[in-house]
Amino acid sequence: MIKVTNLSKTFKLYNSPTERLKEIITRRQYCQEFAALTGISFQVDSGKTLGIIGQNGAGKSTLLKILTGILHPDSGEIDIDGKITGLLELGTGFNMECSGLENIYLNGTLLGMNKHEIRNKLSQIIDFTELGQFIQRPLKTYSSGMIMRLAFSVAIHAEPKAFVVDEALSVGDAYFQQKCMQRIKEFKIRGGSIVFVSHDMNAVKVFCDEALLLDHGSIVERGGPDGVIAAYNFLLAKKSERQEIRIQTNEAGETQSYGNFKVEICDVQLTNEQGDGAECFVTGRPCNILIDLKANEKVDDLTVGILIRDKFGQDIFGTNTYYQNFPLNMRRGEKYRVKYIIDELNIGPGKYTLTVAAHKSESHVLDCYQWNDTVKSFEVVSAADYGFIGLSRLKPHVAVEHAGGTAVDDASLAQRHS
Amino acid sequence: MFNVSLVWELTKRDFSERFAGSLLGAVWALIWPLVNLLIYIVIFGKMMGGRLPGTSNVYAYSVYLTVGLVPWAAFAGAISRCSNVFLEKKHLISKINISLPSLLIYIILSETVTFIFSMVFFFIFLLLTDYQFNLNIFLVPFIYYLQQLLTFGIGLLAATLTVFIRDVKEIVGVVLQFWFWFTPIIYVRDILPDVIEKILVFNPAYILVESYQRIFVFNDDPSYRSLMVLTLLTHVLVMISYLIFRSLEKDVRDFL
Amino acid sequence: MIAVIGLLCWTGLMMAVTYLSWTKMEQHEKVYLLLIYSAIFLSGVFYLFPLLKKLR
Repeated sequence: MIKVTNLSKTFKLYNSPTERLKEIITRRQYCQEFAALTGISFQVDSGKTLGIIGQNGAGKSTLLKILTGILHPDSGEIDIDGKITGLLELGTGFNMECSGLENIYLNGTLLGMNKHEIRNKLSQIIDFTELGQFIQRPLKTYSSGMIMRLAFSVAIHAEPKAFVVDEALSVGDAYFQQKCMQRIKEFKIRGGSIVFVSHDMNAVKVFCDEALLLDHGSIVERGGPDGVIAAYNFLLAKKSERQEIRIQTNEAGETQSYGNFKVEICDVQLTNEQGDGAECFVTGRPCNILIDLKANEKVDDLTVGILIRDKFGQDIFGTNTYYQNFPLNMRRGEKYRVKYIIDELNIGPGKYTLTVAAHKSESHVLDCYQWNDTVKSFEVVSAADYGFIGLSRLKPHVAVEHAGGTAVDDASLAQRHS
Repeated sequence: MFNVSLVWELTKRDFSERFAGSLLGAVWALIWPLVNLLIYIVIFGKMMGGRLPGTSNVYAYSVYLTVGLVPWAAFAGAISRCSNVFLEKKHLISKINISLPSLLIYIILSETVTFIFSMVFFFIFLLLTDYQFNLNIFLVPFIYYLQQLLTFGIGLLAATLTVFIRDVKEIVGVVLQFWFWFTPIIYVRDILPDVIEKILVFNPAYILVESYQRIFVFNDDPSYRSLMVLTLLTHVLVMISYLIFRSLEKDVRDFL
Repeated sequence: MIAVIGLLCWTGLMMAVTYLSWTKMEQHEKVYLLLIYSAIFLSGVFYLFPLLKKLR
């Protein structure tokens, strides 16, 4: 369990470190203060993962450094029941001249293991790295992937009660990544808490039970990952322009759509092949997405986009009129209907949501007219004529060739002899 | 926070890293003290024919030199390395939670290992030259402990200040140089002018070195009173250093 | 010989006390306590040793 109460941290910016001492002696202030974190409180229960998102400079790394004890806070309390290890410091203190084995000992002690613990886990650590005989060779003969494997293996075997994970997980090949993810899941099941910081929104959605949005050192949004990520996107959009931005929320108070509403999304419909509104589709059959727009101002270079997400909030498919080479211009008061005609809805059975957006040019970050999260949900069911599993319906052709060899059975034997 | 395994591992690493990749490896940690000892004894003591007033033993000056230089090397070496340790280990401090004083302790331990090696060789030399051991030799570890505690106090202060004023590291070097020549280590006290001899009692290094010299060279008791005063002063210094360090620790971590 | 044995006993005693205090306490304040122990220990050594030597 990690419990943080009212944490604050101010950095004092000096022209040179000497001024800090001048300040103590003369009691005059020489510094500019910079509030990196203000009034941060949160709790991560055992077996839970908290995602922390925010722009660069929002205070994420400061928070992580305070959690792991590298920096000390100005005020506030941190309660961690047990050891906390950061995966930010993968491979700290590695010496290139020393062998992998020696580096396990040094790195392990740096991560808070004692000699006895390391000796007990040594074979596990080495097995996990899959380095084999390389473990005896100096680190300078390793590839960067091998070094990361060694580093991760030591870190994961340090058996802390809480983990602080950075982007560091995105190292190594897919096979090793999966192995790491497996270990982290086991760690969670055994009751470990994880604080996860990432710019990869998909990873946050998949990985975290809860999320925090940091901006200028304070928590501006917290809750389920989907809502927090929507708030983050909104924050990005707001940052990119000065114009007034409206937020529309539903009855529950969740952010549903935001933007400057120069172009308004009036209605979104999903229709089947007969042209009737529907909420259930058959995989591989047609589906149409109709988006009604109204321009409140004259806009050039309008882009209308769609995004389909699965029940975990993972992006399944998204495109927009910019990618489809369909430039749009609207004059004030004009109304348009954009149709996405999908001949074959080649996605697997399951529940999905649809998000639509109208913005300028390629991305919604620059000038977002309206972003409408989860405007529709629909279900896809499997077709009777084509069975498959998974999210995407690929359409392979099956070809079977006879590749030589003679079948030997009793009948053919009998024929040959006759 | 303070982790014994970590301090020990860092100490070991200090030796293995210094000699990593070399053929003899950690054996060099033994060769260096031996070479230094040979220089003190053979070149300075024997060949240059240094004689100590009031002693008849041909090796008296060699012994005098060794019991002054070996502890001084541990003392000065540890202080000068400590003064820079926070900057030197920045890559560790800014990445993992490490107790900062333990970094000084590992340096002091590492210097102690060298000291012990030197002393072992020195004792072998004493045995070979039919040296008459006296009971006071058992005081040596305690005097050494006091000495390295003083090192810790000065080192912690210097290390903390170096983070804010880089010049402290150089200043420490200069001060140590003066300090060495102000302490009767390679010369005897009697050659000093009276004025300087009088203020010598305020030199803590002199109290320590003189204790070793009295024990080994003159078969005498060290000045217990001076040692007790020094004990008190050293502990007060360490406490003040630690207080200053604690009040600045947050800033030290922020600056690194 | 008494002096040496006395010295060893004194060291052993102080080490045990230090070890116990160090493992029992959590706060940073234990550093100051340790320093006080250390001061008592060393003063003790320099006070006891000459006394014990005279005993012989």
